[in-house]
Amino acid sequence: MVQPNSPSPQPEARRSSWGLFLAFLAAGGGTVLVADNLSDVLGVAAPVFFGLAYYLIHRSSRLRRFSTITYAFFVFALVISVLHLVLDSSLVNGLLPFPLTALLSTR
Amino acid sequence: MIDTSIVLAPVILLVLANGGTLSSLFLQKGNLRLGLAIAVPVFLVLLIVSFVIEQALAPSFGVKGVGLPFVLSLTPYLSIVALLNGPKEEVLYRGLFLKRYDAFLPQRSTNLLSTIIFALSVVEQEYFAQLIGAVLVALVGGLLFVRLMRKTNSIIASGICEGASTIPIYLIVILTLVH
Repeated sequence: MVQPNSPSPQPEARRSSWGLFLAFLAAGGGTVLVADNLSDVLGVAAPVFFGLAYYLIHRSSRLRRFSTITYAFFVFALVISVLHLVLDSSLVNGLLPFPLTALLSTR
Repeated sequence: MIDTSIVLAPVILLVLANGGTLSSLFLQKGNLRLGLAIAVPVFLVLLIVSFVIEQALAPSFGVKGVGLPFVLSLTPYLSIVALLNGPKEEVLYRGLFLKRYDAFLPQRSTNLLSTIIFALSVVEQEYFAQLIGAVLVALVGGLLFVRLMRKTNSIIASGICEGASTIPIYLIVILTLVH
């Protein structure tokens, strides 16, 4: 029996996988850059962006399968931003743990 | 302690609120025996090796290395900080994403992806030149930690190892405070 001459789906799937890899890398790397290194300038831009993206993706029936990963990026960006806001505050900055201050003062 | 709770509490609460489970974050016992059999020796070795690394790296940060007795006196403090820091980074950079990436990409790609993003987080503009080594360590270590996490199906072992790998960095930070 002659098989229908259909194109192999493998290269297409590989391209799609590579595209997703780059997209996730851009999202994760971008979040680290914006929320971690540029937080002084851009503030809470990253969590707002991913929060909005999650809301829109969750509402779309075609893109809904990406909603869990977008939510993960939202949590990631939010936590990094909050971490910076809290740790950069003068209140927390002054809290060098007591055992360390005691050790340093003995030198 | 503060930054660990700032990371762990919202991640867990937000994931649970969205219908996720603790096991989706690798926050489970997993293969504890295998995990501890690997992680405890790795932690002890890295604790000892960190003294050598601190001696080698201190001059590039413009400070002088300290003696072994002082490093040993800091061991309890360093151990607590490392053991708190490791799980925090494992949850934030790997636990949160691995199973979610797996829905779209093969495991090998997800391992590499989470490792690259983790290594990017190590980069600091101020100490970029000095931290190139730390980025390379984060890349190699990250690949090992993610495999350990998958193998033990838990963050316990990889968290301990990850924490141990940051001890030299904490030592350098303490040295810059001392001088």
